[in-house]
Amino acid sequence: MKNTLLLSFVFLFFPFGLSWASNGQMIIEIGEAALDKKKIIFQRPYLAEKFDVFEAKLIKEFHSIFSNDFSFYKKKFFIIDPKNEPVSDFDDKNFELWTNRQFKFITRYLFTKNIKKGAINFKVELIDTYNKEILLSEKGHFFSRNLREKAHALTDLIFQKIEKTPSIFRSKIIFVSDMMSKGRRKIKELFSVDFDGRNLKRLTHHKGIVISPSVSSDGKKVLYTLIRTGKGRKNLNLYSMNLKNRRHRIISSRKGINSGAIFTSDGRKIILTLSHTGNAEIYEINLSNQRLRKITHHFGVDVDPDLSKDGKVLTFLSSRSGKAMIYLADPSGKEKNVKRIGFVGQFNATPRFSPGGNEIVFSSWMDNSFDIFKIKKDGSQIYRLTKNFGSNEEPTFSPDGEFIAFSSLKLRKRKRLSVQNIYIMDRDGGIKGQITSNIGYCTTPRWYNPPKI
Amino acid sequence: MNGSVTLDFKDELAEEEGLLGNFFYISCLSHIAVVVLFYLYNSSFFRFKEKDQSLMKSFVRVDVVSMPTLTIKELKSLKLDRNFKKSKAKDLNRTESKPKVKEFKAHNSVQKGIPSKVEKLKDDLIFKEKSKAKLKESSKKIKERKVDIVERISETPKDNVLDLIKNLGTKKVKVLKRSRKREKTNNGLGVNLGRKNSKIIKNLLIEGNKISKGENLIEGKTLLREEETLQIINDYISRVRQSVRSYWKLPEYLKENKEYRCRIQIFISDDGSLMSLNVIERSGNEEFDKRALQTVEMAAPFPPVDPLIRKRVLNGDLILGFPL
Repeated sequence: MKNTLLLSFVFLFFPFGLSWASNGQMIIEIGEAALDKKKIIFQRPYLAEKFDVFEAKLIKEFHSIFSNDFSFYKKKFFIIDPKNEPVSDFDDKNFELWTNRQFKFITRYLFTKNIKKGAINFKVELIDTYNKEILLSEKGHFFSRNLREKAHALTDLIFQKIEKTPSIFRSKIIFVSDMMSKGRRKIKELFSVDFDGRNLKRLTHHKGIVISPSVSSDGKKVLYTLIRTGKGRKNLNLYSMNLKNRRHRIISSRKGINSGAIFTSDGRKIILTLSHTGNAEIYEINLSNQRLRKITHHFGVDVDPDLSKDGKVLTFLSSRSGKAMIYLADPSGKEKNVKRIGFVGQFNATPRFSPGGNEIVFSSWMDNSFDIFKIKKDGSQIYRLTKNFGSNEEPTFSPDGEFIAFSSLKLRKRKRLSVQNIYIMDRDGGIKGQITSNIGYCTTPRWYNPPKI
Repeated sequence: MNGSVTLDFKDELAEEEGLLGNFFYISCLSHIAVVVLFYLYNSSFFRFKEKDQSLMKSFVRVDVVSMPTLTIKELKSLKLDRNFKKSKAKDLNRTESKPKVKEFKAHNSVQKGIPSKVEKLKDDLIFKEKSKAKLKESSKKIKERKVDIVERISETPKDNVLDLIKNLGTKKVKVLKRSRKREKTNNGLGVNLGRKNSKIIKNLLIEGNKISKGENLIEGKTLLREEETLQIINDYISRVRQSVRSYWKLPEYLKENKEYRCRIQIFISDDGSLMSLNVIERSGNEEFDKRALQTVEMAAPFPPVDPLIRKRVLNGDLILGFPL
């Protein structure tokens, strides 16, 4: 009996004693690592023959595009100035000089003359010095008219080889400008420009007011709303245009607003704002049979739709709470899974999804101007991206999600000196540069990838 | 008859003992079942060899009540500024102490010069006016010093107020010969207690500004020693995390895989030097683990360890989780 008592006592209290005896260890969460920048050098070009002044200028421009393009990705790459670096033979395979200095990637250029007048042959190689491997070797030729296009295509290939993801080097930005306005007559047309602000092209010649452009995911078509100026009934009609041949046609001319249209990911349907029933609502139109389907149904004003890349979530602006706030919905039904994610801000506008679908950028009225903000899809973590930089609106993500283009209005005391241009910033609000200059008031930028040639 | 009675009594006793035994075994079994269920639920019983581990995460709770006024860049620079201010405040404290030492030295040299000057003044009436002026100047200086001290207390951030009070308590107050003469008659009590007693009273007053050991005053509340230790260790953990995090970098191909996880146990000595490392959990990728080890080595040495937490840090209670 005594033995059983003793045993039970020990058995009952032994584990307690052990737990009291142990001290707590603490696991310190270090968190996500920062990105280790890759060192890359774009070596000075190797000229196999003698070139004249004009050809030398073209070669210099071609070569400079590589470092200019990669300078956008300063967070990922440490770019070395090749001025002070020795130039080795193009076929030199001794990489010790570079590996000792931790230069993982080098690009080499060889230029020769082409039989065709005005053409220059190139050979570009990307080398991994650590593994002593030629990752990329491209040959071709260029003229002065397509020099930039060829260079951007090569820089994109180099980027993809290193990062395994596409870059913005081939992308373009479409926007609206009023540079064609004459006196009191306002004319707003559609323009496109390369991501670096070069290669400006006019796309429309309506001599009216173009607003709300949007490009299809394949980069072949653009939707926009046109307000015809002059005599007659003014209506906001929706147009679609083929970017290759510039042919356009009316998609919707219903009474009232036909605006804010976007393509679905497959390009067969569009989602837009219509007000033909008396209230602005969001609809879906099937382009093949023109069938109309209602997505929102509320007495509040619902405008500015944008679709996530997978097409499963729609974001839009609605006044159903009394103020213009950001909402999410399932576009497959009517008022399906409508969820409010914006609860702050006096007036919010133009919500746009990131390519990954996790974030939404939008503009909001604050401190007597508009500024750009970023919010998570679930409504948490609002970040301010712009401040003391004029009035900033209409943000759009780059195709890789690393950059944001937006329009910025700088007001001056003399109204005629005020300017509105397109700017690019990184996803954390670091301003990269101005894309447009001296081409009137530029608004509503949309970033897209053109189709590969 | 007696034999049958004793026999019956024995039988009854035996029966009772048997019943007692049964009840005893039943109660033991039920107690054991409760204990087993308890440990199964907590799942710590089966791992009694391993130490309890708690994950120390850094987090900031934010209630979204209005649009943010600061941009991401401004937020980042704000954190740096705070760290800079703290370090600068420490530097200011150090620099502040130096000139005081110099002043005291100068004052001592003046004091040394006074007796000879005083003797001269006794003999020369003309210089009496000058000595009065000097007295006025010295009294002004004393007042200014007091004002400076008060201003510094009001200007310095909350963190340094306690240090200042501590410093005030530990300072030796040097009293001028002339002011001593005055204090004989006026020691604040209105009574002449003599030199020794007035000294005791002054020391008591100074002692009153000291903070006694084992207690902390934060916003008027007193903390227990355990809570103080916890605060100290939390503060040390955040500093270690900060220094390690600044060196934690990965190339894109390693960053992409979110499943990699490596844990390193560190042993830190009193002065903050890294004594040893131990990888207790591997990620499965050699390069990832290698980079984590390199990060810890680059981050060393760490800040000096407070005596209260010395043992824990030395025994390897700190584990660095890459990323957690």
